[in-house]
Amino acid sequence: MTISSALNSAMSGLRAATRASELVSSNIANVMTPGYARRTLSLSSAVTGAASGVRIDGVQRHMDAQVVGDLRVASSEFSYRTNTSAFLSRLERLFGAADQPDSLSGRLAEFEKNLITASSRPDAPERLDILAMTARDLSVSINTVSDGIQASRIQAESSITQQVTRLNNALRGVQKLNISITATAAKQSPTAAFLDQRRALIDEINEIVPVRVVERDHGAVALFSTGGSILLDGRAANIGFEAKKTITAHMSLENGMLSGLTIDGFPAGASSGSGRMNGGRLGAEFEIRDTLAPSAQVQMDALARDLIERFESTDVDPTFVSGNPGLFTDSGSGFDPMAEVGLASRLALNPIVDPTKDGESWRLRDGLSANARGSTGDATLLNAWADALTTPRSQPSSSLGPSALSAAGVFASITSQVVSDRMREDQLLSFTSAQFHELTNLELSNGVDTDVELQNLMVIEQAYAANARVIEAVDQMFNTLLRI
Amino acid sequence: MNSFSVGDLAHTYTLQRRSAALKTQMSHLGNELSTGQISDKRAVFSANIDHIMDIEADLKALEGYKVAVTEATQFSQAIQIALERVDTSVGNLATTLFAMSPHATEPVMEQFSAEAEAELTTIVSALNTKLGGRFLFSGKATDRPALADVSNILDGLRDAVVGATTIEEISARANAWFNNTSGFTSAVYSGDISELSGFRLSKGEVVHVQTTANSQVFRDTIKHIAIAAISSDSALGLDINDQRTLVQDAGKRLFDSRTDLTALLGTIGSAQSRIDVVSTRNSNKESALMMTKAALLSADPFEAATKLEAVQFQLQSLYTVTAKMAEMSFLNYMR
Repeated sequence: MTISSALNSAMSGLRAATRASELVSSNIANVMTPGYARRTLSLSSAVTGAASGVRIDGVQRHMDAQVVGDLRVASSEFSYRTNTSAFLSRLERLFGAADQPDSLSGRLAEFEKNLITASSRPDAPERLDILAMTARDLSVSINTVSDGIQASRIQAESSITQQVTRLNNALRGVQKLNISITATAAKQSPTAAFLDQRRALIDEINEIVPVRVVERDHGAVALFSTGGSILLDGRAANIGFEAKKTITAHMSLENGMLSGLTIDGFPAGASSGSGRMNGGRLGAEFEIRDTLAPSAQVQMDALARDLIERFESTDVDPTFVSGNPGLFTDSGSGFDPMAEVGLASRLALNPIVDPTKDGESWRLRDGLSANARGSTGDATLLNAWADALTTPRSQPSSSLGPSALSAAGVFASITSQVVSDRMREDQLLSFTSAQFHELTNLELSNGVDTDVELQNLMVIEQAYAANARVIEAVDQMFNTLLRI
Repeated sequence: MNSFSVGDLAHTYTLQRRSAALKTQMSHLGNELSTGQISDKRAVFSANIDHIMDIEADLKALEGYKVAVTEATQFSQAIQIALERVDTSVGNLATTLFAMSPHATEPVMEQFSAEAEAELTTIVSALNTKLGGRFLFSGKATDRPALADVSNILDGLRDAVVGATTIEEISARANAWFNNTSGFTSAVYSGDISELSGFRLSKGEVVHVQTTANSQVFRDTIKHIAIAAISSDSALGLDINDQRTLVQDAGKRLFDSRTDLTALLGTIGSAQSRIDVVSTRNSNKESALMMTKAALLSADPFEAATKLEAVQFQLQSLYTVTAKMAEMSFLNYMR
């Protein structure tokens, strides 16, 4: 109505245009930032007296909470599967490719072949020496696989420590941001930057442990793990973990020798399977340490046990004395059914025939406990060793199935189990990966579109020019009045 | 889904992933083309791991059996050659002794004895044949020669028959000494009484190519020849008729020995043919296994080349699309 109100309206228009251009420039600056929520200005017409001008309601962050939520679920699932499948791939590599001679089953085949050639010329000391070396190589390769499994557990342990540290830092960060957001909102200042930061931290937490975000008053959020633990509600929980420096096969979570997570000092229960902190990277590492690696170890121990027991019999070696070690030993001693855990790491060729331990390879021909060398052409014992490997025996370990297996059958059964596990995990990973990438794409398409921003900029430019023109016109009107 | 704007990052994200996937595929196919083997062996293993492990184990075992077959062949050939030498010697001597004139004189008898001793030396050396460091007729004790010196044999026999006066007694004592384990077997035979184990040439296939110098046929042969050799000994003090009888008898029995030796040669021969059969079977099995393995693990070069072409085209199209989309920016059209 009045000229001054026209001026005010124009000024408000300029202000709005300036603010809008600020936002456009911020959007364009962040075009490459993943997870950035596109900002727009929300305007409404001002309601003051005779109604004129524009009012800036605030900055609107365009975030599709549905997509973000789904993406979080897919992201932690993806993180979980990536890690478990990496472990299984590593395990498969430990076993070696089936067509390579240095694979586990390749070494067994080499040992069996050398038994054949030694049986053909039992008088040749070089054949017996090679046979002893091949037997040693076999036991060493079994040790290597078993040691590799335990090394994976140690790696998982140190990774858990790292993840817990990250988690605690991120939770404290979110707690601080909650306070900042509440304070800033109370001052009526824009909170968009804080919200973006908090979202990035929550995404980081989500990768470690899948979280559910719950809105609280005044812009704060609470975080719960999908298993039901409270991670942050007003105050961030403190996640604790005690790492062990070395891990051996007999240490497990169940017998208390390995620790689980604690939340504010209270044990959080198992983290693998259906525990309260399951899923995500942390869940995967616990799964590896407490389920996947130990079950692989059990298989290897069953394999080592079968190998040792095949040769601990007077049917095979007439000089065998019960209680003494046979051809393969548990660190030099006979097999003790109470000490099956970790056997695969302790499996060793009997030092009495091991050339690297001043053993004598002629004992492979004449008997481990023989007092003196026997007839040089006698291949009976060598044939008996060979038969011991090919004779099917029923397995004491239930994980290898009910049927009787030869030594090669045991190796094949375990190797094929490992391969099929890895394959299944790969399939799950590829499904999860497809889902994750699909949702990431969806989420990214909600990001900044430079074309749209530039179009908006053109409109803003025009609006600014028009408002400035209005001010100019009002100024002229004032001047006209004053000249009266 | 926003119908108003589509984020810039969404385009690049998809394009980047696609291009990475295509490039990996291209490198795999290039590998397959150049090496002729499938580059993603893990996929093949996943489906066929048991089969492949079986094939590998069998191929390895066949390598071992190949060595065993070669050695068994050499061994049996050497035994056959030695036996043929023995057979020839025995044949010559048998003919000579049997054709002895009934009026042979003392010096002639001595000559026959000398010849018998000579043939015995040949036979003993044949039975002491060594091949590749092991004695063929010593049973399990392949590091020891089978028989002692000829002089040991003859002296042993002389000690056994000392004091015997009649031919029958000489024969009986000789039989006793040769068939007694504390006689010939312990004094002359220095090998192991147990035979060498059979050769394992394939799963479940064992071929026995053995006979020791201690077996009945050799003992009998040597016995007859040794008796002929000592028949003209002055220490024995046999009269000329007895000597003639002994020698002729020896000759006759040597013909019987020859029959036994021929039978033995036949056994060795059939063992050799058995070894050949197993050897052929093993080679066929090896070829079949190699072909199966190749079928599983080898890559068809034509298929690989076709796929490579297709992927190359896809990648080129992707690059074109990426470039075009970069051009399509409002920024380029603003001024």
